[in-house]
Amino acid sequence: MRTRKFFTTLHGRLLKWLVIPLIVLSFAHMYSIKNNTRITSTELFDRVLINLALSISQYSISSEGDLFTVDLLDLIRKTTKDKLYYKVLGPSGSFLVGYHNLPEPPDGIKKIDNHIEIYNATYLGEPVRIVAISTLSKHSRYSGWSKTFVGQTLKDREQFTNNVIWDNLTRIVLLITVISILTFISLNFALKPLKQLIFDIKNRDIHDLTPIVNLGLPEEIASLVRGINELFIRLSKQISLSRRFLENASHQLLTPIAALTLQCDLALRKQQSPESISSLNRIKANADRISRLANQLLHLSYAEASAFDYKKETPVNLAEIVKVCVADLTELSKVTEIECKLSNTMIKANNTLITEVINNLIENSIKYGGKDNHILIETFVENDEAILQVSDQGPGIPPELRQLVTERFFRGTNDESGSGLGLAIVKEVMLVHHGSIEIDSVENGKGTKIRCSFPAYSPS
Amino acid sequence: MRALVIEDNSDIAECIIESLSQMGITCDWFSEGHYFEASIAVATFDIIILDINLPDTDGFTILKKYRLSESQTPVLIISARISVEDRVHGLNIGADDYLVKPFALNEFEARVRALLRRDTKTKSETITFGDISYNQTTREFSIYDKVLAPPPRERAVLEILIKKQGDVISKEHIAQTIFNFDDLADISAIEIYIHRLRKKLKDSMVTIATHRGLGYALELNENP
Repeated sequence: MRTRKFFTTLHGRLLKWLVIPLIVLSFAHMYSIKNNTRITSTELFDRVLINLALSISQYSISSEGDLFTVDLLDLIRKTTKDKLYYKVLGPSGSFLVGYHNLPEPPDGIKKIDNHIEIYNATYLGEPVRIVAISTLSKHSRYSGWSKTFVGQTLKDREQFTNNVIWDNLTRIVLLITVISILTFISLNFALKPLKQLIFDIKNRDIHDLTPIVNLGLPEEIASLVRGINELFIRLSKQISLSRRFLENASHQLLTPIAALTLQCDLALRKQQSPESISSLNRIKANADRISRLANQLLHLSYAEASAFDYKKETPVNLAEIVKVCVADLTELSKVTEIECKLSNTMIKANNTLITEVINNLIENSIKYGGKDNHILIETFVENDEAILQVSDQGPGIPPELRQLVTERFFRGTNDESGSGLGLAIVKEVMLVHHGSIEIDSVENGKGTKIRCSFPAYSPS
Repeated sequence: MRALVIEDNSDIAECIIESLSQMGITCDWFSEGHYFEASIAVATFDIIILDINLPDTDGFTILKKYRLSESQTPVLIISARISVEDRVHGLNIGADDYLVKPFALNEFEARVRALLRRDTKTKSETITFGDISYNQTTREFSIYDKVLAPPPRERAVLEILIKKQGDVISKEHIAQTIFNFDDLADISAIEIYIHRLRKKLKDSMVTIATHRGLGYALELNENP
C-alpha cells in the first residue's frame, strides 16, 4: 500500500519511468557485451593457442620428439592458468610426443589457411579448445607434414569474459544509482516552490479568495497558480451572485409573510367571535413559524455562502450580543427563568450570525427545557478560547444523537414545532468563525449543555 | 399628525395605513421612491415610514439625500433585510429606528409612538395643559377624571394644540397635519373642528383662543 502510494508521487513516477527502462536497457547492453566479449576472447585466446602450437611444433620437430625443457614448460605455464595438453604426430602419422589420446578434429571442419583447425572437444571430462596445425618440416629424420595438437581448458576465457561483464555491470549499477539520487535531489529542488504553494493554500482562510501572489515560480507551477487564481475570480463572482440572490430571496420571502402577519393582527382587532379569533391566532402562529423558518434558512445560507469575510470582521463582545438577544426575547420566553453569567469576551465575528446562534440556542433551551426550566447563559475566556455556553434543565440529548442534532432538518421523535435547522445553523456559523460546537449534558445525562468555542480575540 | 409611507407592497401599506389611522395619524402612501421628494417638498410630515427595497430606488439612497437637507422628521425604516449590517447602516445614515419585516402591529405602533413623542416638548407619557391631560400612548384626553373622546379629526387638532403648550399655530399648519393629499383640504373645515372642540371644553379651565391672522392657541381661562 505504501509502495503503491510512493509510485503515485512525482518522485516515484519519475524513478519508475527512468529506472525501469534503464534496467531493461542495461540487461540488453549486458547481453550484447557478453556476446561480443565471448567472440573477442575466443579470437584472442585462439591466436595465443595457435602461436603456442607453432612453437611446440617447431620445438618437437627440431628436438626430434624430445621432452620439453624446464624453461619451455615454465614459459608455457606462465601464459595461462589453464591446463594445456599437446601431442605431435610425425609425417606418416607416427606419434612423436604428448598426450596421445587428445581428440582428433571432427570431420568437415573448416581449415584456416589450409593448415590450421580449431575446434571444441571434451578431454578428461573437461571442455577444451584444441588447435591442430599441420607443418611441413624439412628435418633430416622427419621430412614431410607433421601435425601438432594443443588443447586448452576454457577457464581463462571464461574468467576474461566474466571480468569484462562484472566490470561493466558495476559501472551500470553505479550509474543508475547516481542517476536516481540526482533525480531525487533535483526533483526536491524543483518541487520546493510547489511545496511552499501547498503550504500557502493549506493555511488560507476558507473565505480568502484574493489571488495567490506569484513570486518567481517555475513556469509549470506558475500556470497552475494562474489557473487557481482564475478559479478564485470565478468563485468570488459566484459568491457575490449568490449573495445578491439571497438578498432578493429574503426580500421576496419575508415581504408576503410580513403582509400576512400584519393582516392577521388587524383582523384580530376587528373580530369579536371566539372561533374567528382562535383561527386567526392559529394563522398568525403559523405565519410566525414560516417567518422564523425563512429567517433561519436565510441565515444558514448566509453562513454557507460565506457572505462575510472572517478576516475583515470587527471584534465584538459576546456578552453584549447575549444581553441584546435576551432583551429582545418575545413573550414565549417570559415564563422561563434565564440567568446570565457574562464576562467580557471579545471575538472576531459577524454580528448577525452570532445573534442568530444565540437566538437559536436560547430558543432550543426554552423549547426543549421542560417544565421547571432554568436556563444559564455564560460567556468567558478559557485557554485562549472564547466560550459561549448555554445550559438548560431539560431531559438532555442522548449521546448517540448528539452528532445527529446538528444535521439539517433533524428533529427529535416528539418534536412537532421545531424546524430542525437551529443547531445546523449554529454549527455552520461556528465553522465559518473557525470555532467548534460541543454538546454535553449538565450532569448525569440530564440537561443539555451546548458549548461554542471561538478563537479569542486579542488586539495584538 | 401626518405620516408619509413609502412601501411597495400594497398589502403591507394598507395595514400600516389602517394602523396609523387607528392611532389618529393621517397618511400619505406611495409605492415608489421618486414620490418621496415631491411629497416632502409640498407638505410637512410628523413621521416617515420608509421601506428599503423599492422598485425604482432604495430607501438608503432616499434617506441619505433627505438627511443632507438637515430635516429632523423621524424616519422609521421597515425592511426585510435581516443583517445587522443593514440595520446599523440604516441607523448610521440617519434613520431613527429600524424594524425588520415581518413585525407585529403592536410593535410597529409602539415604535411610531416613541418616535412621535420625541417631537413634542415633553417626553413623558402624559402631557397636561391646565386641567386637560393627554396620554400619548392611549391618545386619550381627559378633563380631571372625565374622559373626553372627540372624533379623530377633532382629536388630531386638539393634539397639535396641546403639544405646542399654548404656542400659536396657523390654520394652514393644522390643515396640513390632519389632511392627506387625497382629502379635499378645505381650510374652513378647521374652523368647524375648533368650534366643536370649544363646545366640548366648555367645562374646562382651558379655552381655544383665536389670534387673528396668526392662528389658534390653547389658553387658560382666567374666570372659571
